[in-house]
Formats: sequence, C-alpha cells, structure tokens
Amino acid sequence: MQRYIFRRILLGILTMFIVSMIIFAMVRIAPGDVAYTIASQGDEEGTIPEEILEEIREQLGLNEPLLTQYKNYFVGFITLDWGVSYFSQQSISKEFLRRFPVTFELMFLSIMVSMCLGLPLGALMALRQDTWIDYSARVFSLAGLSVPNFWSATLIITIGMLYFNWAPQVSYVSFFEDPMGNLTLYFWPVLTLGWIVMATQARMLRSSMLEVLRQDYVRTAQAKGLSERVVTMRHVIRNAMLPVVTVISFTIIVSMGGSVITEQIFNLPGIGNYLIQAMSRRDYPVVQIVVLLLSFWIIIINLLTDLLYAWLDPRIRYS
Amino acid sequence: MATQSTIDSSNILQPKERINIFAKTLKAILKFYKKKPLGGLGLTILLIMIVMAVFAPIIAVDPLQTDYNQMIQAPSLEHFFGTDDLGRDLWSRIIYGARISLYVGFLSVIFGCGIGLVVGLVGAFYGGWVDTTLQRFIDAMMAFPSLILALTIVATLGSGIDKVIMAIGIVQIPRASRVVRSQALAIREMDYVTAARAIGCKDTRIMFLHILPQVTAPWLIIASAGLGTAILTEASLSFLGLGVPAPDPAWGGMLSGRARDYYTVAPWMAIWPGFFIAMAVYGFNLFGDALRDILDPRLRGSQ
Repeated sequence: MQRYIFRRILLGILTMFIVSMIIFAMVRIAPGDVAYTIASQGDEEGTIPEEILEEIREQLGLNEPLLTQYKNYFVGFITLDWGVSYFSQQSISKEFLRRFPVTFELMFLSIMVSMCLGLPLGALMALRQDTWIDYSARVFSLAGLSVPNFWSATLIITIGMLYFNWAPQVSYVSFFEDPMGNLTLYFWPVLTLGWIVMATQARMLRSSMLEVLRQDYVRTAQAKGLSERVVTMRHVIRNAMLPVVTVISFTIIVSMGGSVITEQIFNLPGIGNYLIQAMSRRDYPVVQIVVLLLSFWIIIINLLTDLLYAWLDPRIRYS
Repeated sequence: MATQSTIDSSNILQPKERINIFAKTLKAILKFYKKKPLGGLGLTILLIMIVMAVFAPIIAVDPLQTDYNQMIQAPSLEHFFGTDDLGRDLWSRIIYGARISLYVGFLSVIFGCGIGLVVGLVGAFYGGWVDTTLQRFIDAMMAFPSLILALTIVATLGSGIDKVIMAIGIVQIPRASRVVRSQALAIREMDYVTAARAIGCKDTRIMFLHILPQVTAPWLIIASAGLGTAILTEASLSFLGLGVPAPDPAWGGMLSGRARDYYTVAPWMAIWPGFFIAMAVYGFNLFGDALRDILDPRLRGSQ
C-alpha cells in the first residue's frame, strides 16, 4: 500500500511536469510571431512598428533563452507569482481568486444536484435493465450528452424573455451578500450544466452496476433464494459503490469543461469566462497560467481518487 | 499468361455475387434496425445528415448570399426556416452546415483516432521505455478537460477549419490509444503472435497484419463514440468564436455573436441551428451505443 501511494504521487508529479511543458510549448510554437499576434489582434493587415513588438517581447520575456523562460514560468507558477495579464495589466492571481468562487459554486451545485438525481437513476436503469424505465432513462440521459448546453441555455433565455419577461441577471451577487439572490442567479446555469453531469453519472453507474450484476456471487446469492432486495442491498450496491468514486471524480472534470460555456452564456464572471476572454484576445500570459491551473486541479483530483479507491478496495489496501 | 488471366477473372465479382453482397448488407442493416431500434433511429438521423450534405447544392441556395430586403423574415414557404439578420436563408445555412459538421467530425476522428491507434499499438508491442514514455504523454493529455485542450490548441494555432480539425483530433488521441493499447497487450501474448515472430516476421508486419485486425472492434467503438463528441466540440468552439470562422455556416457559429441580439425578435434563429446540432450528436451517440453493444463481446447476448 505504501509503495503504491508513493509510486502514484511520483507519477502525479511527473504528469504535472509534462503538462506544464506541453502548455509552455503550445504557446511558443504558435505560428508566426507571438508579439505580432498579440499586437495585431488577429488583424492581418497593417504593419506594427518594430519598437512596439520589441516592447511586447521584452515584457513577456520572449527574448530570453527558452530554458530560462520555462524556468521562470514553472517557478513563478509554483511560488504563486503568476504575473500580470497583458491587456489589463492586472495581477492574474488576484483576478483568479476573485473569480474562483463563482466557478466553484457553479460546479459544486451542479454536481450536488446531479448526484441526487443521476446516481439513483443510474442504479435504477441497471436494476430494471431493458424495461421501459431503462429505455426512457437512457433516451433522457443520452440527450443530456447530446444537447449542447449553449443551445438549451439559449432556449431558456429566449423563452424567458418572450413569454415571462425574464432575463438573466447582468450583475453578479455573491452568496454572502445576498444568499437568495445568488441562488436564483444560479438556478438555470446549474440546471443546464447539471443535466450534462447527471447524464454522465447515470450512464457510468449503469454500466458499472450491470457489470456487478453479472458476477458469479450475485448469481449465487439469487440461487440460494435471497430476496431481490437483499441481493441488491448487500451484494450489488456494496460492490457498485467503488466505481462511484471514479464516477464522481470524472464528473468534476466534465463539469469543469461545461462550466466554460455555461458561464459564457449566463454572464457569470468565473474562470471559464476569464479564460475565453483571454483566448480570444490572445492574452498568452493568462492562458498559460489558467490552463495549467485547471489541469493541475484535475491531476490532483485524479490522484486523490486513485488513493481513495485503493483505500476502499481491500484487495489493493492489503497488497 | 493463361493462368494469370484466369486468376484475374475469378477475382472480379460476377454480377450475381455483387447482388448477393448488396442483399447481404441490406439484410444486415435490416437486422440492425430490428435488433437495435434506438441505434436504427441514430443511423436514420445519420443518413439524413449525409443526404443533406451531399445534395446541398440541389436542395438549398447559396448560404452566404445576403439580401437586405429579406432580413429577419419568419419561416415561410419561400424561406422554410426564415432568414437571419443579414437576410441569409437559414434553411440553406443549415443544409450547408451539415457539410461542415460532417467534414470536421469525420476528418478529426480519422486523424485523432488514427494517431491513437498507432500510438497504442506501438506502445503495447514494444513495451519498456517506449511504452512508458508514450503513456506519460497520454496521461498528461488526459489532465486537460477536452474542451479546454481543444480551445488552447485553436487559440495558439489561430482559427480556421483545418486547425479546428487538428485540435479536435488531438483531443481524441488519448482515449483511442488507451483502448487500443489494453487490447493489444492481451493480443501480443497470444500463441499465433509468437508463432509469427518465430518464423521471422518483421515487427511492422506483426503489428499491422496480426495484431491490428484484433483491435479494430474496440477501435471502431471509440471512433464512433468520438464522432458525436467531435461534432459537439466543433459546435462549441464555433459558438465561442474560436472555431470555424464567421461567414461559413457552422451550426455553432450561427448561435453566437451578433445573432444573440435577435433571439427575441427572431426565435427561429435560436431554434434551428441548435436543434440540428442536438439531433446530429444524438444520432451519432445512439448509433455508437448500439454499435458498442453489438461489437463488445462482454455485452453480447444482453440487449
């Protein structure tokens, strides 16, 4: 067990290094001159004076050798010295801290809502496989994965504006200032994002439960005449709980990707919003830090999942 | 000379056999419809989309043609889905949009899952440090949420349909390579692979002629599941303004930008593009699910 933990943490750190190198390389191998791209804003025409380009290069540290640049990037990241946005000249870490709670609340509420609905739905689908319950739940959950959330959100806003004289709030209020106002603000975003998360959870739990249901010990339990309820509670649910850990960690990643678009539509000033803004302005200092942060987050979640999984599974715990 | 010509003529399908193969395929498709009604629905949606894309010039007019006398017209017999803020016919834009979606979807899956296939095969076959290095890179790529990875690639490469295909393709690599690798690891230990090695087959021959055929089923499952994701990702990128550039009628792009100001005046502008994205992705997902049930030996026998 100790060896496993040690090995797993080392692997996690290695992955972090590789991720940081990939992001660093991606920003540098961008075709053309980065300084020119930033200065011209994707506008192909016109020439930009050399002094301005030189100034941008100087400011982004593009004149230094690659190894020094990478060192500055990585060490800066670790020591929380994230630099400033090229456009607003604002500190990235301050902006990040200001926006983090918005995204966190969106993800947290969506995952909570979907756990209350998605996990029972997935279990029900597996236990009633090939009945009308299973079929309709499958149609519903697959729709959650297929309907783009920017469309469902658009429909909600359009219908709200046309028939109910309702529009999403423009200004953001935090939970601590105005709890009710904050929760009404989050209602529709959470619902659109939660549908995707719920669909993922239900489908994953269904397939892992089906796998457990086909095990020999379940057949044995049924053969010795245990009631369906006992078989389900003692043998199936218990063993199907393990994959749930993986399911939940996976949905954190899914909701992170989904929150980018949800924030964009509902005007939530979160991290996804920040990232899209930076990407469309080619604000590379912001992009390379925020993307690295998000992937570090995922690596840590995956690491914790694996460790929790190992601890929960006696076959790994005692090996 | 004479023998060669006989061999050649026997290789050419006789008309009767050709009909036979046609009938067999038709039979297989009918069986698929009967056994997997939901998958059949998905296949139907797919076929409709392909028809839309292929016959676009016949059933639609120029999707880029603006007409300032026809701005924001409600759906009518002249414009089935209405017109947008520049007077472009939405029906035509949707039809031509199917071309973009299918084009990006298929090419990116072939590109990404193709690389994934080779990476997985090579890793599993050679093992050792080759495999470890490849796996660490795959791990690192899996540490990005897929949409954010695609966004970052497009943001650095610049927008354009070829870059979108590349970005979405790269996002597909990890999953394909994982699945292929785990399957290939088991195949590698099989007796017939050892036999092939014993008679002195080259590495590439073993990999592509002996192992590859055994990993096609799981690869197909992943690739077909990837098609739906690819179309959805393309739509999301275009919606965020970082995908297929503006005048081209990409479904996602039709929902973004200035179009958002017209939703209350012209709800059809909000309804149709999204509806078609949802149907296309839904169709691909239903079809992929059914395909998985049929091809995955562990699920065979169950519905």
